[in-house]
Order: sequence, then C-alpha cells, then structure tokens
Amino acid sequence: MIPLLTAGAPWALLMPWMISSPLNSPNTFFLIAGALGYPMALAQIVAAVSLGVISGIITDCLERKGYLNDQHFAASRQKPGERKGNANGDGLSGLTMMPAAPTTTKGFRQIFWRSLSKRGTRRLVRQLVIFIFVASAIKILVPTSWIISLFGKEHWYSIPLAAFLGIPLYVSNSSSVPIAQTLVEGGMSPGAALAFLLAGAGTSLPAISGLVAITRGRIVVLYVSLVFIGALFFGLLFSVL
Amino acid sequence: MVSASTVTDIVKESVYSFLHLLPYLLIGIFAGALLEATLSRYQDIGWLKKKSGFFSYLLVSLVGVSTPL
Repeated sequence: MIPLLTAGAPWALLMPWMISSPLNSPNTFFLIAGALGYPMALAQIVAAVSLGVISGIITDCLERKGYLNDQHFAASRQKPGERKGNANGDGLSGLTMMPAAPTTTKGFRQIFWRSLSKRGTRRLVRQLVIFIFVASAIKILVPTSWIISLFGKEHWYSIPLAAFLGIPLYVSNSSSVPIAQTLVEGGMSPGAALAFLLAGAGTSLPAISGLVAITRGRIVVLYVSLVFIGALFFGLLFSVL
Repeated sequence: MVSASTVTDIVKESVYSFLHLLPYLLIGIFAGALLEATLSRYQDIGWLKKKSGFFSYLLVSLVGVSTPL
C-alpha cells in the first residue's frame, strides 16, 4: 500500500485493494467454509471482489471530478512540479522501483516459510482460540430466542443490526468467524451473517487506523460508506437468493 | 453466577469447535503462504499504467482477497 501511495497510484486502483484485502484472505475463506459452509465462504469472496470492482468504478468517477485531490499524506509531501498519479494511471512507472521479485525456487521457498512463521500467523491462531471460547460461552449462556428475536430472517432490521454489530465486535477475521457461527446456529439469518462479516472486516480498528494514518478525511469517509452500504446490499442479496 | 458445570460445558464446546476448525485453519494458512510466495514474483505492476477500468479493478480486488493479512 505504501509503495503504491508514494508512487502516486490513482485512488481508483487503490480503493479496490483497500476494500477487498481486509474483507477476505485464504485463511478467512477456509475458516468461513469450515464454520459456515462453502456457500457462505463463496458468497463472502464474491461480495469482497464485487465490492472492490464497484468501489474502483465509483472512486474513478469521483477522482475525475477532482473530489479526491491531495487525499494522501505522501501526495501532500511532494514538491511542486513532481509527478503525481491520476485517474489515467499516469505516475505508475514509479511502481517498478519496488524491491526485485524473487524469481528463484530458493526465493519462493524463503517467502513461503517466512509467511508460515510470521507473527501474524501466530496471532491469527491465538485470536481464533480466544474467540472460539467467547463464541462457546455465547452459545451456552445466551438463549437462542434472543438471537432469533434480533437476527431472525423474518425481521427486516436483522441485516442492518448485524452490520452495526460487526463494527464493535470485529477484532480480526479469525475472531469473528466463530462468533458468526454461533449466531447462525442460534438463529441468525445467513444474509445477516454475511453483513456482519463484511461490515466488521472493513470497519475493524486495524483497518481504519491504518487508513487514517496514510490518508485524509474524504478517503476514509468514502471507504467506510462503500464498505457499510456494500455489506447491507450483499447481505440483502444473499438473503433473497 | 456461572456454575462449574457450565464452565466445563464451555471448555468442552471450545475444544470441539477448535478441533473442527483446525484442518480448515491449517489449509488456509498453507494456501495463504503459497499464494503470498507466488504473488511475490509479480511485484512489478507497471502494466497497470496501460490498463484501466473494470478488469484492472477486478485484478486488484482478486489480488487483495488472495493476500493473507
């Protein structure tokens, strides 16, 4: 993300990445498949990619109208006359200055093992264990009737409520999946579960704090709006299908 | 007040859930590492300069969901 920003890549290319990346990953896909089944995992990945494409198109329109000028801190530090990216993709040649890619088998293996042993993987397992315990406590202590009365398929407000609930309850992808599984087993509709997973992932504290650190207000507002409206839309669509 | 038997039930349920999710977690971690190593070969994305629109957004989104966090 940082090399793309400093190279002056247009927001229309950055926004699909910023939206789709926190919404899904291989870990998330398989965890959702294990907890909620492959239809839900496929719906989540299709929603994440679709939302990424839609966000790119909307951001491109806004960028062409000049609403998103100078919205990242890297751009504000550029000197007058320096090249900046725009909606046509000018300025992307800077991206070739990124570190050389490993082309050898040894380089491939190094990255593979580094990815397996990195701190993020250990954190993922730790958070999963903690939130499986929390989800089990909810399953045993919270009456099913409460969950059905709030998130049942017959209530029109179940999807917006689940999306709102996802904002404070979401710590990471691995943490939310066991909670979503417990809520679905307790009577939450699949559409509400999808809205919960999408809205929570996009508006989680790590995602927003990372965004606030490198961008300005309009991008943050656009990002949160796109994620939240997209979560509601795809939640409703999944409940209808 | 939560009784001792309730706590035992929560722990049992947690262990069962973890064992159920463990194979999916391991597959996800390995698939993520494999994709990360594969995608690292394509760090030069200057080609995006020549392409814009729907397919660029689609490709960027696909890379986004393929990257482990």
